[in-house]
Amino acid sequence: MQLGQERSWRHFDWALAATAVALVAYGLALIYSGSLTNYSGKPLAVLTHPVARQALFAAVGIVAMFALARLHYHRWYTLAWPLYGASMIALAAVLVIGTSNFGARRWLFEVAGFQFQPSEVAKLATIIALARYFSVDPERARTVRGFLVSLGIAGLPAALTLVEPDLGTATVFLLIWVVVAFVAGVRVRHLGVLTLVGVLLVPFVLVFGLSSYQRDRLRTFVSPEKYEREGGYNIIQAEVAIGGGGLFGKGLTHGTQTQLEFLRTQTTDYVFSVLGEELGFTGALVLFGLFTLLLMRGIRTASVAPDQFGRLLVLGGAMLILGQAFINVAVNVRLFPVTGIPLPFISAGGTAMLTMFVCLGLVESVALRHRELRYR
Amino acid sequence: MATAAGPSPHPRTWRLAVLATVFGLAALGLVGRLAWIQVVHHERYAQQAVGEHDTTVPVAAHRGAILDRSGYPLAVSVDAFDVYVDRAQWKNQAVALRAADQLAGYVQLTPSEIFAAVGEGDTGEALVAKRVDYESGSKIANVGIPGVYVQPTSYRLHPEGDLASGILGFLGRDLTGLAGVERDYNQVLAGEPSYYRYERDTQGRPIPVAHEQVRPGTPGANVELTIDRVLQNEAEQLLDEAIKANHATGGDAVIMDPHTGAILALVSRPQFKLSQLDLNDPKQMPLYRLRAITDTYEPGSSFKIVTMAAGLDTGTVTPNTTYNDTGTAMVGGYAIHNWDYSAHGITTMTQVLVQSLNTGTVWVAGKLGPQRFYQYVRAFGFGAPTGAGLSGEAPGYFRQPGDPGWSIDDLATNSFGQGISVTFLQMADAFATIANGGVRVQPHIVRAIVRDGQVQPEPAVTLGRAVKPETATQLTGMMEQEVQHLYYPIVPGYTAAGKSSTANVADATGYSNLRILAYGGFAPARDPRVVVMVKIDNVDNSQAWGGVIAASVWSHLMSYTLHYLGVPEDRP
Repeated sequence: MQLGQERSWRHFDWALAATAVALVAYGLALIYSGSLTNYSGKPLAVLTHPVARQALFAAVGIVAMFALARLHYHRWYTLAWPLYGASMIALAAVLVIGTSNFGARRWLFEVAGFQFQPSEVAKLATIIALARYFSVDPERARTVRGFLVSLGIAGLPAALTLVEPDLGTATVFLLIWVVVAFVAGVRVRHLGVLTLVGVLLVPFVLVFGLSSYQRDRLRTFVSPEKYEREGGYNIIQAEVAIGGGGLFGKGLTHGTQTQLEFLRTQTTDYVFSVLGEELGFTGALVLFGLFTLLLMRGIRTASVAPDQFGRLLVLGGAMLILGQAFINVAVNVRLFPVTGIPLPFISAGGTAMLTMFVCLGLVESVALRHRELRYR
Repeated sequence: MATAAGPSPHPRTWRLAVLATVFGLAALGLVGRLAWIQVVHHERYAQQAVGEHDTTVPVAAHRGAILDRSGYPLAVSVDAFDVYVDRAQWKNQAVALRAADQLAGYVQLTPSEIFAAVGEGDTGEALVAKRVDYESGSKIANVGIPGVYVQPTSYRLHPEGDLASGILGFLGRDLTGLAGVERDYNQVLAGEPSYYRYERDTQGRPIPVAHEQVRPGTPGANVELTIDRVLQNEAEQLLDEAIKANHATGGDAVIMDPHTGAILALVSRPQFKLSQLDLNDPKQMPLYRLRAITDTYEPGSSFKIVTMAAGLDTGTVTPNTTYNDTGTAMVGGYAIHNWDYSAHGITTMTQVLVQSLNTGTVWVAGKLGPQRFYQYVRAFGFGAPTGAGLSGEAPGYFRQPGDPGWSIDDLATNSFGQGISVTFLQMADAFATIANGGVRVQPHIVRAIVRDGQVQPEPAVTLGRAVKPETATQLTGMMEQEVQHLYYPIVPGYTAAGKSSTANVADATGYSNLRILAYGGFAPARDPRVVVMVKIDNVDNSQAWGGVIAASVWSHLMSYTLHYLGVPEDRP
């Protein structure tokens, strides 16, 4: 198990890291364009400028990625439960003392002007906890007990974020669980029953289980034109911006809906709409290409992972990145109700950026110690 | 290894394949949706986007001028700019100070005056300078001072001051004509606006940099009036003096070319003054209308020329036909008297006109009968607007046989101009018809439309013959006698024909002591070049006579006009 420390960086997945950096660069361009109206003519090199902040976050993230890659991922195996426990406490604490932002309590700490979001750490902690739970005994996954316990591990943070209320993050927890549990080997039958129960519960959830804000969001999702004031406006504007972009877009910084501020939160939740408007279908395909590359590298790393923990860690991490990317884009093109899930590596935001690179660091840590090495 | 982090991974590679497939399908779904929005329905969204931020605004073309008959401007538009400040952009004090300093150089204001105009608050726009001249305004627009916007505007300049205000009319705040020629020829004067496409942001504010002309406009055409500014000025001055001297409430004066119908001067009082126009003052509203065409009155003795023309034209009477004036004519049980309550015995038709005997016209009308009498009244154009080219003309009114309430009394009173309502211009037009040998020509106020130097004359419109030329000649001779009979028989150097009128103003109980004094006529009598009519309203003086007071104004205005037009004198 002393593989990591002396391993050369030769096995570091440079393609994976490079893809992430390319995404960050892509994101910087979009944030620049998206903030042009409000920061026009202001120096880029000042930390109040969103582009500068984002670049700084990315730099910190990259350093963190290298540090975590170097650190053997088995360290997380040991720390899995304390980390999980601590992050659940933090999530619960947010509900009590967190500051509110756009109506949802997601932030906990504010350090030197940078806010910190416990749900981001919770995502990582849940991946690690699930990976550990399933890797202790491979047969666990096949049992009903294992199925339900693992569901509980992801269900707790999902429930805690759901009451924040943050439907998007809750969904991410469940997606992570589905992927990790599926690859860990849970019975398809169990998944089928759960799906059936879920489907049967839908009407009850819709009637009794949703807060008024969630019902509003669903309503505006279904018919945004009717609820323009309740947020339908943003949904419509995103669609108009993206649709107006066409095949090749209006050109970076030339999107009318972006520059005239018809789009809202155009550097965060709706940054994809900026891309859609200004760089068009082609620009979106480039973005999808980069994420696909990320997925392929992730699956490759998973398939050569030295152990089950490493494999699940990699897949959980990949799911965290891609799942969020899916949800974010789906929201932008009105296939999913508005959630507030950022576009990984692209959306402006420090905690999310850091989480994404930490996630990559975990994957890289596994990659550095991949299976082939044992046969050298 | 297996001890620390579980056993080697189970080779459940099919699960990875399923995962990859699910991801692939999901990705395909997103791409499909994206293609649906961006490629299939691109056009629809693109248009929706354009509709949200693009707006086409009309920019008024340069408004044409109103000119007098010699091309002298009476109303011209001056292009200018209104200067606005967007308070939001002046939130920053340093920016505001610099911008105000810069702006002060272009408008006649100090920075502190600019700040006072901008006022408190940091939203909305403030109008800081109105009607900044075109050159400075364009410079402000080109220099681009932060938060400062210019809006093209224009205003009307009247080089002749208040001259012909009732004819010219005025513009509303939206630069649309609201009265007079400005209103009636608004389309001609305004031209076609050009259209500019603006991008606006979510607040609806136009983005100053992004506009382009999408449709060029056409500048407004000039409207050339038949009005002669010199004659108009003289008419206004003489009328104003007479109104003042006689403590009258108002009056009218007109100078016409009898052969073309061209109105060389037309003035009504009371009338708004362009220099004191206040659209917010409701007291000024009654002053907007040009009373010579909008208001009616009982013409009184002026109307005797119509009765006499009918008598002559039908051969019922000749100038020398006599009747026995007993001083009273009994009509339907009422006695009608002469103005002086005297009896003149055997009297000629010429004397009926000269002495203005009511009993005489009653006698003529009686011989004519209602059928023929009203036929002539209509032939002279009474009861219908003259079509002079200004809107708001009253048609006037009289009852005819068959109309409810008509009786034979009406025939008698109408014969000397009572019980009938006419406009001042209609009455003047009747004089013009006689002067024009019995042929009615439509009076008109617009001489030509001048577009890009191309003159499109408004043709004179002949409306038909009212009386035979001989009738006109005979009547002219009788009216010449009347002029010679005047206390002021004076159009020095010229023969002239005319008729006076002194009519008491009807009120609820009958006729009041207020008098409308009028005099109409033309000169030279045998070759008429000019018709002039003057009317002075509501003179409260039982010794005031149209043949004295109105005739005095008339003779001054007539002789001024003849000399001004260079009409050769025709008598010593």
